[in-house]
Amino acid sequence: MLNNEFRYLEPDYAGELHVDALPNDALAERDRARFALKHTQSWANNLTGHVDFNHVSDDAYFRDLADSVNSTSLVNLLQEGGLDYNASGGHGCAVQRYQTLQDPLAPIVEPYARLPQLTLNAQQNYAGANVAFAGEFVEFSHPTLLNATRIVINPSVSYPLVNDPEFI
Amino acid sequence: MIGKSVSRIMHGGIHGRADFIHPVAGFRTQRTTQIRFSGAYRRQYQQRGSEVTLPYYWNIAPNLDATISPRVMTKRV
Repeated sequence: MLNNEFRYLEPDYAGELHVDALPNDALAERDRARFALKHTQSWANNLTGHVDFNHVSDDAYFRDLADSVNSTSLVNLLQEGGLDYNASGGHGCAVQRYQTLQDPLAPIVEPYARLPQLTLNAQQNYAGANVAFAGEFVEFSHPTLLNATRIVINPSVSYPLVNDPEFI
Repeated sequence: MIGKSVSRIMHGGIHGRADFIHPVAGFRTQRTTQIRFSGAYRRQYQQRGSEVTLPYYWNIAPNLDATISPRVMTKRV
C-alpha cells in the first residue's frame, strides 16, 4: 500500500492532497483507494473558491485500513465545492454532497445533497435608512427520499432613531 | 551537507504488543531539498497481519512538501 500526502501553499491558493492506494487487496480481492483534496483559492476582486472532495473506493475502506477511531467512525465523506464573492454583503454559490459509507450491520439514511446552494446578501444605506436583503436558494436532492427546494427571502428596512446624548 | 546522513534507531514496546522502530535518517539531495525517513512503525492486526509503515518526508520547497508512506500488511500486501 502507498499513502501519499502532498501540501502546497502559495499566495493565491493553498491546499492538501491525499492519494492512498492499495492495488489487489489479497483479503478483499479488489483494489482499494482513497482520494482527498482540500483546496482554497482567491482571486482579485474579493472572489474566493474552495473545494473539499473526499472519496474512498468502498464502504469498508476505513474500517479495514484506517489506524484511528477518528477515521474508522467516518460515515459521511464531504464532497463540496463553492465560490464566494465577498463584497457588499457577500454572495456565494456552492454544491455539496456526501459519500455515505454504509455498515451492513447498521445502515443509515444518507444526508441530502445541496445541488446547488445560492446565497445573496446586500446592504445599502439610503438617506439614513438601512436597506438589507438576505436571500438563499437551495435545491435539496436525495436518491431515495423526496427532493425539495427552499427559498429564503428576507428583505428589511430599518431606520435607526438615535440622537446624540445631551449634557447639562 | 550534501550526502551527509545521520541515523538512529530506537526500539520500544508497550505491554509487549507493539514495536516502534524509529530510524531517523536524513540526507540532502540539493541545498533546498531534504528527504527524511521519520517514525517507522510496526503493528499487529488480526485482519491485516503484521504491518510496517515507513513514512518518507520530502521537503520539496519551503512552501511544498510531500509525505509518502509505503505500508506493507502481510495479509493484504
